[in-house]
Amino acid sequence: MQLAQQRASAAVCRRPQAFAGANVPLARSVRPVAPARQQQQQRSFVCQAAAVEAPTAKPSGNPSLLSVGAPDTYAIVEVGGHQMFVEPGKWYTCNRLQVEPGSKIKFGRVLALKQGGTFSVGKPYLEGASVEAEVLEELKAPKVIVYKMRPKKHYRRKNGHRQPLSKFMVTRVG
Amino acid sequence: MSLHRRLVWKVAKGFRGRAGTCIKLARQQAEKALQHAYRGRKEKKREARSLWIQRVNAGSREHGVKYSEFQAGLKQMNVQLNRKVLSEIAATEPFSFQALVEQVKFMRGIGGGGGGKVA
Repeated sequence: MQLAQQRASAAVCRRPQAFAGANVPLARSVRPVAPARQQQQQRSFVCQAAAVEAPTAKPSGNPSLLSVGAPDTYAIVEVGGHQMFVEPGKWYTCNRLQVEPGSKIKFGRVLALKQGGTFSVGKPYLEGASVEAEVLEELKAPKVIVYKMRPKKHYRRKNGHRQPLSKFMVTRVG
Repeated sequence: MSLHRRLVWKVAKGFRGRAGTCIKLARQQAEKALQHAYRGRKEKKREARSLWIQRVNAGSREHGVKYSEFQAGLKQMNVQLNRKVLSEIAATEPFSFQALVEQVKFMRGIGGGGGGKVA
């Protein structure tokens, strides 16, 4: 009798064992530490072939080229040492351009162009194709702390860096 | 001169254990974190490029061309699209990418298209 009581009391105090086959509920409820995160939408590539079949794609929070598929008209231009996809009516950031904000500029180095269903690729640049844009503002990227340290050698360097950028809005692609 | 305490907490807040609460340990872990960030910024560029190359490779192999031959063909055609953009084309515009691959096949004489191999 005593043994049984001891075993029963011990069973109550003992934590539920989490081994395979044990169907024991938790003794206390789980207290959430942080608000429940929203279910992130599964990103998958959307290509032309798929987009034709399923045109109604639910737009997620941050649409990117790979989540919403290729747009109808765009150009691939070389700006500031980078190549980027530009569409008419959208703004982009690039390395600082030496122009006044508010002025209109034209990008001449167009590597590829898609217009009205035809995709043309330049060798290396397309003749006669250009992208017109208007420079919106000059800004700086968020600060990046560059920290270098050599242990036990009395060497520490700390620098901050804010990359100067330009923001431009594309008005015409063609 | 070691990191200012303000910066230490900005970096090390929320670290596990005493590294998130005690200044002596937090200072060490903050330095480590900033060094890792410096290294990671450089590695990010390498990893991204490796990923683009894998994607372009997969895309071109679907049409029977290896990545090395594809790049050689693009160089021959003097097409200067970089790997980032090529990988995005391969993912979102399969027909355009296929056209590029077919052109490379023609230029390199792969798969029976065109004459012999172009030197």
